[in-house]
Amino acid sequence: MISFKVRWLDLFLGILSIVLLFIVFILSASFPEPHEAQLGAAVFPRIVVLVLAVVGVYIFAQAMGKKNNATVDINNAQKVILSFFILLLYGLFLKKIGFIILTPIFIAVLLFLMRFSNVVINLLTSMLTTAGIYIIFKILLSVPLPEGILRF
Amino acid sequence: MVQYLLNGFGHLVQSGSIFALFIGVFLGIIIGALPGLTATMGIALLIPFTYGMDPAYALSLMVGIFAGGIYGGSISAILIKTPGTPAAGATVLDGYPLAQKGQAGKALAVSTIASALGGLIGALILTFLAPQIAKIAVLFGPPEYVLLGVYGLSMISYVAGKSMAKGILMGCLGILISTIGIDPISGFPRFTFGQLNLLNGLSLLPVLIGLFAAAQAFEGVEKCNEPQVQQAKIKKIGISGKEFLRILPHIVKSAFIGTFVGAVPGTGTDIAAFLSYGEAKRSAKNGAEFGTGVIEGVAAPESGNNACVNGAMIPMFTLGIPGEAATAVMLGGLMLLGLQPGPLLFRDNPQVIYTVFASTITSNLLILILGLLGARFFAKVLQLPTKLITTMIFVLAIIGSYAMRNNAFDVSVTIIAGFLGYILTKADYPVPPLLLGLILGPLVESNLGRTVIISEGNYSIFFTRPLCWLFWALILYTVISNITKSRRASRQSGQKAGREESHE
Repeated sequence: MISFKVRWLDLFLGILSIVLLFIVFILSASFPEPHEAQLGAAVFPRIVVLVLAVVGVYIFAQAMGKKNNATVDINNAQKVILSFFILLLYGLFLKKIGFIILTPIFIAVLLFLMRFSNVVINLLTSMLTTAGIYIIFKILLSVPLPEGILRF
Repeated sequence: MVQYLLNGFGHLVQSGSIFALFIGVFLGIIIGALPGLTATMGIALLIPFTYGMDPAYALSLMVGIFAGGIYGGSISAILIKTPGTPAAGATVLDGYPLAQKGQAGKALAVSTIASALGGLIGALILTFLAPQIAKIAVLFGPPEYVLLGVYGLSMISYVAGKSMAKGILMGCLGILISTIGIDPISGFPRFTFGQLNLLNGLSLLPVLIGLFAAAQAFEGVEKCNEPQVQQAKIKKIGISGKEFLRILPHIVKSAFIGTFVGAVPGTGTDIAAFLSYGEAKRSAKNGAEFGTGVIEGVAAPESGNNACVNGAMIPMFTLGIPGEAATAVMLGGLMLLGLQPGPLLFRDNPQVIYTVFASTITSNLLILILGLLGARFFAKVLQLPTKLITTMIFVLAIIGSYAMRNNAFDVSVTIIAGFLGYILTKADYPVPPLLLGLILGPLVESNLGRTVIISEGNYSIFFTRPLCWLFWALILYTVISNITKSRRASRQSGQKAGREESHE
């Protein structure tokens, strides 16, 4: 289990809002000047980021002042973080390798990670699920699924 | 108007939208019944696949999922004491005790009938009230739209959950993200860091799928060790005529409460359900028995939450202001279908909008049929392994974010938004305000730009138009009532903490 104090996140987001304030004001300084009686590209983002910064400072001050011991607990943190990276790999390579090859592997790996069942059942389930999705989306709904190297 | 509605029914049947509605309600009930999956998530996952569909067809699907999902939540509330959606939270209170008395079938029948009737009353109010509101809304000019958007954003404080400041922070982040890309008035690219992918802004859909679907799946991974719950057995499904007459007044009253609660932006189906439950408990003769398994306690919240589904669509269709998460997601879907939500929808696309109204009315009939005949089947679905469902959500989220523009950038956005949404929600940073900001930000900015042009830079225009005053009053009321409410809540929690300390 990973556990961290909500306070830390509050402090971080407070600082982030100030950083964003600087970024928006610095970048928007180079926006073109509006014509007469026009809003201009810079006004609205500046208003928003100012409000954001005020709220951010408030949250920061609260986190500094009050002792808030609430924590964010992530059970099975290893699995959650691993699943994030597996998902990222799946998402990024899906177009290159293709839905029909990568999806059963992805599902089987995730099922293995979550201890769904034994290897054979995991593999079978993953293939059946992929086939089901393929039939529903590609054949019935004609949604383009990434073809990858197999061209179908 | 009745003519329009009849045409809507005609189009519903002719275009095959009724089939989409049936599929929507069916899928909705399953999604709603499965704990952890919400109607909002169902709609978010569905949107990419509706691209290019006939709008009436796509919207019927969404309406079906929304209505079916809110009803479906009651099935798991009754059978396994876990509300399938937050909206069914109040249904657990009497539904589960009823099931434990061996009357699960009766509880399911009551929730089905109440959902269908409550939803029907809500749908009729939607159908007849929305066009009237749209008639007024046509009079709105850019200044009114600015204030309307600000009013919608002030609702963030309602949606915010535990901390208003955190809600506002998320809302501002959403608006700020919406300013990425080409400025609507001058056409100048902002905050793109030279990235071509950002020229049109961070698209709504991948963010939405990430926040509402992928985030759920991460939670599914986290909870993958939790054992599946045993469910109550269903014997006979149905109620007697006498019992029906007992619950009828509560259904009708809750339907009005639910529709009204839904029509006020910022409140949702869960609030409607609890308010309806509270009112039924207060007014029923057997009020003291509530919580021990009385049918009134199932009927009231179920009627209220399904009526709320329809109420929530009133501001969404007529003003383009989403009230809560599900309608915010639906609004995103509407835009992707090329429809501009708001009063002009009634003038420009009457056929679409009245077909949707016909769908909302018909959806309740489908709930009644599917609910009464299919209860045993849906109970079986509850036994599906959650681990498999978690992986399915991941896969659907990824192919959904691919389907729109076929690029890897969108997919990365979905995954990262999903993970951040998952972490932020855990730390009480609510996600719906972010979406509200993303949707309402551009509405406010583009209309602010137009206002400045028509008023030639004179901002007093916001105080010289009568309709603007109405919005100022609404905004002030919302902000002040919320500040007092959150003060009171924090004082109460402070007192509670103080008491606990003195106990120690």
